[in-house]
Amino acid sequence: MLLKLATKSLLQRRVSVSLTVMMIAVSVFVLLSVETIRTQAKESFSKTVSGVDLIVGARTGQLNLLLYSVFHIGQASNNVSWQSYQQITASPNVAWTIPLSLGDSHHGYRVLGTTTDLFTFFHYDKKKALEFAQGHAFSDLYDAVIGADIAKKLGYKIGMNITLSHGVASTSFSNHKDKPFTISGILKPTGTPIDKTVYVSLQGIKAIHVDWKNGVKLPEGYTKINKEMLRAQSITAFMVGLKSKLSTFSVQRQVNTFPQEALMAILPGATLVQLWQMLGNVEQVLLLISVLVLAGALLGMSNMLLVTIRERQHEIAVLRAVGASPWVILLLIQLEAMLLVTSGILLAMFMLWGCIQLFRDTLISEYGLFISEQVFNTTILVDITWILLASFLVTMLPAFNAYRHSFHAKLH
Amino acid sequence: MQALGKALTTQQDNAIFMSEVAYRYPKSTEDSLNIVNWSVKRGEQVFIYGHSGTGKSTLLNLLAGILTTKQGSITILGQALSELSARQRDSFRARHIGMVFQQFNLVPHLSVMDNIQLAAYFAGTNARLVQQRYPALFEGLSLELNLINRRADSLSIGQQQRVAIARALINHPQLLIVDEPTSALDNESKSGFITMLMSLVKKEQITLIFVSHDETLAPRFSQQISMADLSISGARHVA
Repeated sequence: MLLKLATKSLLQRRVSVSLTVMMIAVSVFVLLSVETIRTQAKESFSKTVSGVDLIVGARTGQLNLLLYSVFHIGQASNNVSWQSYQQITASPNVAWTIPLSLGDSHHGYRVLGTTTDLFTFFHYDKKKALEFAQGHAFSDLYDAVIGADIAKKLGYKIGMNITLSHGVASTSFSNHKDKPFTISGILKPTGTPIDKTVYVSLQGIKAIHVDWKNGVKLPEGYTKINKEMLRAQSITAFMVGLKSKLSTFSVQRQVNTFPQEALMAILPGATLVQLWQMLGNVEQVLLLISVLVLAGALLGMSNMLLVTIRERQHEIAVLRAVGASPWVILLLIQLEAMLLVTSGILLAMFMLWGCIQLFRDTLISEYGLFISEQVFNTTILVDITWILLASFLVTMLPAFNAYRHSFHAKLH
Repeated sequence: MQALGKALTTQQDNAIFMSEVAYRYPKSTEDSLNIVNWSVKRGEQVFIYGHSGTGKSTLLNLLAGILTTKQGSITILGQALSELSARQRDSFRARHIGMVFQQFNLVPHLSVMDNIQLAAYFAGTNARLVQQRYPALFEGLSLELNLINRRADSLSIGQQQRVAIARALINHPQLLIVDEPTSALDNESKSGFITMLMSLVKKEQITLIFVSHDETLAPRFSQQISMADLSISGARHVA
């Protein structure tokens, strides 16, 4: 009965109520978005690489190397020569290496040139190896392996031909049309940027660039491909697995002081921690702002309810006359506030879900940020509990006002 | 012993018993009501008249247990209100007292049915009983049954006041407190309204307290008393 009373009373004030719900929804949406990005970014970034002891690239900032090699954000300033790569791979402490060659794309998805060692040694999340949903690793020069999301979004199947583009924009004017790749394998979903990556062999990358000079395509058939040409001269970076963790720092020193070339080795975990520390302050500020926006919205709601109490003197008097205690009046106002906030939260969740659907792809391809489609998680639930608690407290003001009024709600 | 026995029977026979009651609003320097001794027997229809500012509304709120005073004792239907907690008073009012005001008796955005169910809800009356009872009440009040699902504020003032009576009677109260219910009605509807009210309270043997400034209505009640006779101001009481 009270719920009915509260609902009908809110429906009675449709316009101001829907504005209030919108206000709450927008502010809750801001808070939940910040929380989602915050928690999921950490999770997504830490999930992306696991079991890799060192990442080696041309000397640059530690973060820069991590971002372009693992998350495909930004560009490498320089390459690593094939000789240096071979030399480090051969050093006694190194168990395996995975070369990475970036720079091409397919419909905005990054193309990564590597070796089949990727499917053997690379791990993500908690030491999970890559698995094929269909097909197998690339074996032919023009074979390609694609991530689960690409297959799903573009409807690709094994055996289909795809064309790679030069550069990383989704609409590139320079396509490698003359050398199409055949899809040989599709990976299982990993929930990391892997799902959005096309994998080809280093030779494949080399082959499509044979006719190119300084990023410009030479006339067709200008050069005939032979084996000699396909030997990679340089790669963008490489991942290193060590025989023993104990040698991590000595190998790192060895790379950093490599005499032939200016190289750098980073520990992905430690560098990630560095990244979080850097983002920590930004994160706190964003969170603070969204909490303040929410506080503003809740105070606005409280004010709306307080104003209506004055208009509802008669209603309160009627309720008192039929035997409602002042506590019932207080409860009624609280119930109305809870209905407002709950609808606001539901609307915000819907908006969040919609935005994730809309921007998920962009976030992954532009920022390597993998946001789960699952809107609900423990952090969000904890936040919602806090929001409800805060609105309960804020509503005590108008609710108590109504309670006090109802004591001498004189009957006329 | 005899005196006590007599007092008890009187208490049980009385719908209202007030003794040495004074009420002063907070921040006020004067009593707005001061009743030395007043009782109403069960089944009476009492007409109380007086101008505004003579304490009529204070009296009704005290009788209903909405206002309370530490000065003196008020016994309603054999129950001393001072013995009840605030919550018990609210529940006592819901179950035993029906109230009708001048205007604004209904929650405007609820249907007629919901308004009546609201009264049943606080009195703990089963919603299904309401479904059974309301047709007879509506008939007695010349209300069409199809009004039951209309929004309260879509009814005419006269209809609203009659719905208010039906709402007040739905829990079979023993005491009906009515405050100027006809002030918004024209003379013809006024007369019809009183007739219907009278026949209903007589049939259900309800004690009626009817407050108005319109003395032309007085002859139709079994008892008449003016507010001035009932309540003496604090100053006169001392003298």
